[in-house]
Amino acid sequence: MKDAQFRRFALPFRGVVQRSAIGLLVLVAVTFMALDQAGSPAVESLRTRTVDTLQPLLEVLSHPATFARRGADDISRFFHVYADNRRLREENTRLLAWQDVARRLEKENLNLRNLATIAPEARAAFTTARIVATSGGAFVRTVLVNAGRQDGVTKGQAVVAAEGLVGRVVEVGDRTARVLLLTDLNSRIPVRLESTRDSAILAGDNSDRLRLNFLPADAVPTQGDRVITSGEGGQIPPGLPAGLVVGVEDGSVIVRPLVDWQRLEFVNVLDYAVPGVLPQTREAGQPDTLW
Amino acid sequence: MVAGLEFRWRDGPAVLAPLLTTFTAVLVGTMPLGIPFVGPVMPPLCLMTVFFWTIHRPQQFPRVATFGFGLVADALGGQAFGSTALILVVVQLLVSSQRRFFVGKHFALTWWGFLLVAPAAAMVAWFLNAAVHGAFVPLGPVLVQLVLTLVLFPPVAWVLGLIDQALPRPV
Repeated sequence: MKDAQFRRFALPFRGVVQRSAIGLLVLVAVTFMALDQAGSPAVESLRTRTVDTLQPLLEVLSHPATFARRGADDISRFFHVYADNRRLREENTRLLAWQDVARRLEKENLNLRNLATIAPEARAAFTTARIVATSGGAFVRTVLVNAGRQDGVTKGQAVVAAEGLVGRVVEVGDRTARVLLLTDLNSRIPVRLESTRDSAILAGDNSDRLRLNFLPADAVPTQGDRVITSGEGGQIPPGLPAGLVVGVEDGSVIVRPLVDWQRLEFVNVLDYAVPGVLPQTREAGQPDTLW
Repeated sequence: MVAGLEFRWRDGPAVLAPLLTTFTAVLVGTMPLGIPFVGPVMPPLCLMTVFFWTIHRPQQFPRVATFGFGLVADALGGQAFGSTALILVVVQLLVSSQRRFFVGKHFALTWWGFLLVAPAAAMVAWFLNAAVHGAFVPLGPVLVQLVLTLVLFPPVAWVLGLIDQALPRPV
């Protein structure tokens, strides 16, 4: 009886409370977006803490996905095993010839450096990390990796795969880091054309292709030219392959990234700092030396 | 006392099903599946679960939970923080206000409702992300994602429907 009376009394207020709750949630969401737009550290911290908390779950869930993908790849490779074998033998013969050339050039380079007393290049160390989540949608091109502040990862560091540059770190949690891929709309990487040494900015536009901005007017890029990082800015090592020129469209040079995004599973986060120019970024851990 | 506890334990899956399936949808949406060309156009599975459970089990799907799932999706996906949360809460509000049109009717009507809501949600997401990131992303992938979302809704709703029918309705 008392319960019924209470319900009759509370009913009008229930609607008001519900409407206020919706208004409050909308207000909180809009505030978060405004703070995110302003680059608020509080929002970044909330986001990285959420991701760090879910990291063990992401880690567990990403394994079956990887297992299924590898299985599908293995089945696909089984049907191409003879063709692959023939191709790899030919490639091996070609690479052995290149190895001889590289050894000779390395020796020659060392001798010339000693003669000219050139300052030694900065060395880079790396931390290997696994991709545990992707952005999964049309609006951003990022991945989450299972290495963070505890592993010495800091903002701005370059991320590479075997084929070349993947992107750079834009957000760091204790155990995870977010990598902005080259293809993201907000990605801008200082690069050079390998053949002519012309500088440019490699920009993403959320598609699978990249564009070269600010290329000198007299530069003549040709199809197949390699695009490598220029090292300007001091955080991304120079000489990392980023893409291949595939053509010119609407006055823009179009570049195809070298990385196969579908098969990307492990990446290396590079800890690179030019001695005397930028402070050493490593805070913890003893990473392997890359070169 | 013991009887009460038994009752609550039996009710547990029914109470938690909408929340667990939505949380799963958020996580699956960010899993590195490696399926060619799917990553950039991965449909927002959590939009489907929010739409479905708001119609079928609104009592077990509080708006605060919807908001929380939206924030988790934004944190994992890297979209404008709060954008998915805002969209999901507004979708839940709209669907719950029109719920009586869908309950007990043929599935085609539910799908038709989703056909109206999903494009609006996609356009709002497109605009909010442009406002926060300072640039409009190309509409092409957004439209492909939208088509995939609309096409995948019936199978996802079918699975959720099986779960709904298998579980008792908590008193």
